[in-house]
Amino acid sequence: MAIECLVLGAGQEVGKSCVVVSIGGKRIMFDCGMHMGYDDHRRFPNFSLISETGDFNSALTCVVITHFHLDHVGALPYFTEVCGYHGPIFMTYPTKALAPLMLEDYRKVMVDRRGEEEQFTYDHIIECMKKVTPLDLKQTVRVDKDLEICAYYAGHVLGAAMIYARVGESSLVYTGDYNMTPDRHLGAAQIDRLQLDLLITESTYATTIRDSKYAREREFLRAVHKCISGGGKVLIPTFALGRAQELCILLDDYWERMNLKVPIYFSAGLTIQANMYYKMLIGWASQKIKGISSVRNTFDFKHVCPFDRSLVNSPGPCVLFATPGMISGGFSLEVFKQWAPSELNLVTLPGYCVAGTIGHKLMSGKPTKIDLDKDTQIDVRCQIHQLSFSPHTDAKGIMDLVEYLSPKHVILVHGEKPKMALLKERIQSELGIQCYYPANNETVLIPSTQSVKIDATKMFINSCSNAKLQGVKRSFLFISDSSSRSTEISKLLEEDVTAEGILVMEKTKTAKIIHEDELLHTLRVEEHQVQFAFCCPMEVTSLQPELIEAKSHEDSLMELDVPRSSATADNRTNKGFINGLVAIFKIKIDCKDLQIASDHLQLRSFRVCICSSEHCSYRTKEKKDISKSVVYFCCRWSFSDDKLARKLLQIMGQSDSS
Amino acid sequence: MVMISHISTTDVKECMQKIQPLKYGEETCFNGSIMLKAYSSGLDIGSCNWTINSPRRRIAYLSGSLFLSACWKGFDYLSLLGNDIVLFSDLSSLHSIDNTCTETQGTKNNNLIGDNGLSFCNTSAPQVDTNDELPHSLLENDESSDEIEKIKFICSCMIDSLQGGGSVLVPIGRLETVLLLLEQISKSLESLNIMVPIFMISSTAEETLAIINTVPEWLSKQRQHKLFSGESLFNHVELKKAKKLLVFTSIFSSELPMMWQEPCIVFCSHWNLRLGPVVPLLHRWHDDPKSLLILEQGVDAEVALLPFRPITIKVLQCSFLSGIMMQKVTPLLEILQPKLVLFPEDVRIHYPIKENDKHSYLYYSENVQLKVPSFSKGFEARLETDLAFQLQPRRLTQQNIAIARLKGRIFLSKGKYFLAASKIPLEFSNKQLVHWGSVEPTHLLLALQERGLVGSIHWDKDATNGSFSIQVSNPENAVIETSAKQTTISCEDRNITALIYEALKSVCDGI
Ligand SMILES: [Zn+2]
Ligand SMILES: [Zn+2]
Ligand SMILES: [Zn+2]
Repeated sequence: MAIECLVLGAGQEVGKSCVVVSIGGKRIMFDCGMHMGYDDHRRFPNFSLISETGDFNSALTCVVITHFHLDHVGALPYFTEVCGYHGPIFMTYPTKALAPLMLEDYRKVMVDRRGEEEQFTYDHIIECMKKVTPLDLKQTVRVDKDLEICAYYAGHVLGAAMIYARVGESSLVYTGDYNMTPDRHLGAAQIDRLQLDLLITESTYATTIRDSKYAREREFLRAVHKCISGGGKVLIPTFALGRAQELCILLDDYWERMNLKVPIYFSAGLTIQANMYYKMLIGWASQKIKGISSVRNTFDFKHVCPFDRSLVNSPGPCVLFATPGMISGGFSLEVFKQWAPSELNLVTLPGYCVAGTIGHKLMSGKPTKIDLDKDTQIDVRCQIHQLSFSPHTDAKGIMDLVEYLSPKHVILVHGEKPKMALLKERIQSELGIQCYYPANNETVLIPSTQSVKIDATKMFINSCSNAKLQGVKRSFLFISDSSSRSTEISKLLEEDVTAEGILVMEKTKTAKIIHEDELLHTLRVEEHQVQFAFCCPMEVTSLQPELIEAKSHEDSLMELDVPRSSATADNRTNKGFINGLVAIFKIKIDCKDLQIASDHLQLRSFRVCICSSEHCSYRTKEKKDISKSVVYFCCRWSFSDDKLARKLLQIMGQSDSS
Repeated sequence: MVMISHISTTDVKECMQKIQPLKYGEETCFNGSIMLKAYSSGLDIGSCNWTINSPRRRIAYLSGSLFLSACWKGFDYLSLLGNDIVLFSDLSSLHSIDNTCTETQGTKNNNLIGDNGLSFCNTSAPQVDTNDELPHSLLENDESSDEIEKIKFICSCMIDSLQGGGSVLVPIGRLETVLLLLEQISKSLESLNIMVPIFMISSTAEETLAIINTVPEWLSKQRQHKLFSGESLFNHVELKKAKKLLVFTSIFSSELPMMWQEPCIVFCSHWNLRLGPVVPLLHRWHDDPKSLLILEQGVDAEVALLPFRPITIKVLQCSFLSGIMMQKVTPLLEILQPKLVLFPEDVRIHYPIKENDKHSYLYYSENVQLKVPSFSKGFEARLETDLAFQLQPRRLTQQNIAIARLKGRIFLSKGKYFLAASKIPLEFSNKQLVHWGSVEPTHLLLALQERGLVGSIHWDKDATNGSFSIQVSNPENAVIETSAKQTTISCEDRNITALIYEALKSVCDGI
């Protein structure tokens, strides 16, 4: 069976992330985002591709949201309240707490824009969030009998998660957005080394390699400090959550160190409210912040002052965080209009701005005038500082993650097409892993791992463990199974141990793997032994010990027994012949394991004795020259030693003096 | 009193470093073969039950569990489904079955303590008729609302004392009790407009209060709802901010005297009344009949209070649920459906082995090893398709059985064995092949002929067991001797031998 991957959004672009994956008869929607760059139907994923009839409840097993960014959760209230999806929805605790703030903030901005018809209402957001089951990290959640999901820390923003999903032995990870390096408030992404058929990863910075972010943080602080010392005002347009808190930690800390008194404001109650959430969710921040949280909560900002709209035009320097980011409307645009004309002021821009926003216009070149609409034009004389730190992993991070997880296939989403093409080539050539980067509304089919349930006997498992024990010299941990008092070696983990056994397949029963020695008993049959025999004639003269001794005078190992007087003459001669044969073998082969007795000798299963039966049926070869005195050696061996037996017979033939 | 400490702070720190923290529901693997998972038990923050799964055993290990908790995540019993064995490790709560009504105990204690003692009455919960109820609803019936009623009752007693000019001393026991009392009493004080300070004196209080407000994942649904609606998880954050709750690390803190004022409420350690700020405070109030001391059950009040005699302070001793209630064990097992239940020996009287019971019981005792039967003879393994495709099954003559030699790599992942194709092609070792059954002479002769070997059958007249031999004369001399259990092939030429062996294999079962 295959894993079917339908990309509804963020295929060869950034925005409206949404991937629908069919795996082992289950169908999971990862993320349900919106595209900030569009106002028309392209804003939302094309849900009709999931179900033509619009019956999403039977078409989907569950929806999993990775984090609170609108390009990942923005379409969710629309999908549940307008499209009518009522099935299970999962997201982490912080995402469940913070996503409604993001959604409401966005909704307000849209409503403020004249002529904009709202896609969902406040009640829709509230109703939608009620349907969400919160997830903790690393907690394995059974969605139903067959589907298990588990969230892993992704960095990026508070509560961001990579999602592992498994049905039977088929499994995948959908990363959402992630960061492989820690930032001011979040740790780096962290995931177990999972066995995966498929990894779906973001690729925002598919080709960028970033250097240390501390230099860029210093740059930012320097720009801000310069502006306020000159009496200017700093506008930091951000979304209420994520970047706002990261920059605020940076500034709060800097203010403390530099003993600055200039006020820092948050434009909306929203951000202040958000800070309260951050304080409760500090367990999801970086280890460092968590570690000191019982002493001082990092999100208790010391230098943030309450804000009033009248302060926009009051004199003196200040720093203002205003929503939305990218200056796409709302209060940040309002303040921008007022502050942009003064060269004293500073506006910072996020690292990424969607086309069509003021932020995007400011990024491309340094315009002196911006046309807001037909009637409004803004003079831009203020300083512009583009923030170059991003909560996304860079190309090295993506490669590191892919290599670490070593999935069988990789799908790239959430990136720019030409860069994705380059990254795909790297993944295929450097890591030897199949890679795809489908466009929106395309489907990729991935073969998946399948397995059959079988029973294994204890003897079989033990034999594998023992093989391992012999093969590798290291200490093993044993687990005693008291009911049987036998030990079972349990350290077979992720190491190649060779298993050899017999699979018994009986109709209507579970197939069973057994050890070879258990076969006859299992089948309730008796063994039929097969052996090989040959009665090999040799001339007595070729077996004279003295002769051979001379031939092999260097063979110090040879110790021939002196015949005892009590032995019969016959025995004495037999023993002499056996010894003669031993001497011959010793010249040709390594006789370390050769067992010698007075009437026979044995090497592995190859056994030779003097044949006294004239009618021995194994004398298929007769000596032609009857005049010479001949001794017959009756040889028997089993199939496994046939090669050895033939060699020994050959030696015997060659040593024959005729 | 001199207390000798056997461990240092360093010991504690080093010990904690060895601990691998887990989330509820997080899989962890011991030795690759034993999968451990923890699920909330509801007794306290982070308390848990375990599932222990190995390739041969599935065990649910149950500790004291509460189905619903006002603060913590409740007993997640549904995650314990599908285990063969349920092991009750802590049924200490069942021992107090005889005094389900704490009234008796409370009154008894009060009699001993003095006539100013308040008796605490465990509101007798209406017995739910098990037959009419679904097991789930029975399990989740109002345990926590009973507990809330108790808290409210304690608060009303506290208010009475405060209004009478007395102080209230609450030795810190269970964290939940402290948090709920704090929440309830602050509401009561506010609604009655009583202005008394609440002190919390403990070296760990500050940190505990900070942490408890940042761990929504470990809390009950109602508490989590507070997070999602933007409220603090516990109101002590606001109380501290409003200076209604004053937290000090020690009774000797320099600021404490400046803030001190009586009557007041003091939460402090230790519940055994032998250590911490509770000792001096009890010495201060032990003979104040207006004041109130709140003790949790589990403390022998008489003994605990001995050093503080004479006692005229009011004492309220209360009990809270600390584990599974007796009447819930059976419905719980109905849901979990284990094959075997392990009980501590001392509850045998409550759960005697009954005939035609759905589960079997075993009773264990301390320091006695108990053999627990396994429910599977073999191990469960998964055969991956890549290896399955390499198999060359051989159908056997008699039964509906096919067999195949298998060689690949085996690995243990998350407590399951996997058999997969090896990355490098593996050769079967040159082992002796196994054969069984008898050889039909004419079949063998035919098989030889097909391979260009000419021979004739000779019956062994002396033997009774159908022994025979085939003499091959062309292209080489060879002899095949066969009895019921054994065949010997004799031929000098190696290639002819191989041909004969092949012919034999074609007429004889083997692998
Ligand atoms: Zn994001
Ligand atoms: Zn994104
Ligand atoms: Zn012979």
